Amino acid sequence: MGEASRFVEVTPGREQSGSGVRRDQRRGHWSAAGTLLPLGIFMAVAIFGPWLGGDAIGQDLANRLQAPVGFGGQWGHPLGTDSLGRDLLARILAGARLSLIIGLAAASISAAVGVTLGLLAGARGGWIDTVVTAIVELSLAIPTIVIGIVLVATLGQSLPNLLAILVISGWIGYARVVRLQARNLVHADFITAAIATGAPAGRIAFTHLLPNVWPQVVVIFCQQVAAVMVWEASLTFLGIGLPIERISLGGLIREGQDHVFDGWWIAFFPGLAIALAVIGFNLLADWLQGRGGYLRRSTRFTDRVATSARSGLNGG
Amino acid sequence: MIVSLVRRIAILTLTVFAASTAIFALVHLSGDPTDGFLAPGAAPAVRDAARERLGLDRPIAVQYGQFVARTFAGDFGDSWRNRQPAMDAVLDRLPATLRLAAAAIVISVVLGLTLGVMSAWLKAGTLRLGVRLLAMLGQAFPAFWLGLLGIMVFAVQLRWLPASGSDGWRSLILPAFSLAAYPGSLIARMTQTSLLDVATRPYITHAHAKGLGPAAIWLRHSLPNALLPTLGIVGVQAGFLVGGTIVVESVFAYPGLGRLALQAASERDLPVIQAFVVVAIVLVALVNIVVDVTATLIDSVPRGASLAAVNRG
Repeated sequence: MGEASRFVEVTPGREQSGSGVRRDQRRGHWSAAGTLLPLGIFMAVAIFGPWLGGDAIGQDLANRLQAPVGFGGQWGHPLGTDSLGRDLLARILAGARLSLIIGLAAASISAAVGVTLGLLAGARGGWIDTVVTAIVELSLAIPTIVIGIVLVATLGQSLPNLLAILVISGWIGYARVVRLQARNLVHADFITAAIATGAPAGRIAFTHLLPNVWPQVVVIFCQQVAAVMVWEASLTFLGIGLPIERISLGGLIREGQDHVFDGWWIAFFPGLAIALAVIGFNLLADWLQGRGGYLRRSTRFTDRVATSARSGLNGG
Repeated sequence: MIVSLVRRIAILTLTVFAASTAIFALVHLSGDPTDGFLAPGAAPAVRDAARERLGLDRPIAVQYGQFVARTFAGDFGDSWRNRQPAMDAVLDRLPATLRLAAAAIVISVVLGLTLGVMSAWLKAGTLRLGVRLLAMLGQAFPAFWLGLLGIMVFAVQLRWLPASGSDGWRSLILPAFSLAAYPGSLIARMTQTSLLDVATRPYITHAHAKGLGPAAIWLRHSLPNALLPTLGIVGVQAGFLVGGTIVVESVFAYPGLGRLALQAASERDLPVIQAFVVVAIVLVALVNIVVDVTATLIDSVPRGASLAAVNRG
């Protein structure tokens, strides 16, 4: 993309009208602001919400199943209350924080595993490459939910197990892209030069190859956080994710399932929160992808397919 | 095509083998398997009898060998909950799940293609933007939330459709649509992008120069080439469809594979879990094989068609 945009800048016409460039820049700032707004709102809510919002645990049976403001509710509970009279807004704020933490944690661990294995496989080739590729292919053939059901049935339900489920299906997205990139880069002159100077394999991988695949890793990371948050919610909704005593967005929707007749808001608003986060992280990923100086246009398309495969996380 | 078929089958075999190995390891690492179906205070004699009946008293290597062999034979023993063979329990539920998944595939492909093609063909900017927005929303909301929303609107408020169960096609509508939202959005977006991308290719300019009408160009050149990435998505989303079916079934109390597996997971009914895992893996592989074959067929169409056009011209 970097080469392409440089090319655009030197086309005649563009070059002469300096104001046009400035207008482009200004539009860039606006689109960046629009892109980052949903994510900003969600992050602010998740980080600061628990201090602003009320009590997420306190029960108040006299005020159970109160409707939100605008549907006959009062400002004391802006989004209404659940079947035990707990404030829904406060619970969404608490749940958003936990979902965000899990999303970031799972995507980070997946990145560490996936990038390391991808670099190894792509740079070293040989049997390591064969093994990593085989594991990737096999994992792609098993849906996330199936992994979740097996782990929960054998090892039980807990936060570490949930993270394990999300990482087992999440690292593939990184490994595939990083491996391909490393394979293409490993014959580049600067790598040959590094090998000629006698640099050890580890240094070649982490100081020479890694900086070149980093922009793509960041893009996948953002897409993965979004995907992981949806999967966490789905698994928790099914009762095989977070333990029931934790407040999470998926868990709230699960509670809301019992109240489709008398409390639509309990499931409705947590879903909006999830969607806000997913849209936010996906827009950020698109924006980074558009900006990333190292990305060539041709890779964007295939990456989308590859990551939607694992978004396989979204894909399964 | 033969090569890709052989490759898929090899992957399928390896996956089943790896999955059964993983399950075997997990089961034996996670404590005494007999805990799963004996009462907590069962007498040692009862426990020993159960171990012998299940072959748990034999050496671990023998157990593993038998386990893998029986996995490939599709024989997982009886369910620990009811005395039915585990595979039969899974196969009983399979048709309902297949109906739901098939309906979702059809809806997502038809809707996604229609929206994608329309927005690329009619050069209206608002429509294009609208489809992009719709695709963004469709990808953002979890399927189970869309399902609940559908129940609240169409079953509780409007009373048009049943909220749960599986009597007839009417009870298939809500689950299928909530399942189709995500892949449908992806397909719409991908179709739009690849159609706009194809439109700039030299062979389209060439077709114009040759004097082909717009309809002929669309049918012979644009669509087949733009369809391939779309098909790729369906293949890549096969896992999502199987996984998503399980989630959506649970929302609608739809008696498919997913509800069986979730119940088995909560009861630690391992034979049923094993049967379910193998069936799910085979399903994903089958969808991918069908997609591969279809892609090869589509790929061979435009070449023949354009050759015919060249001969005529």
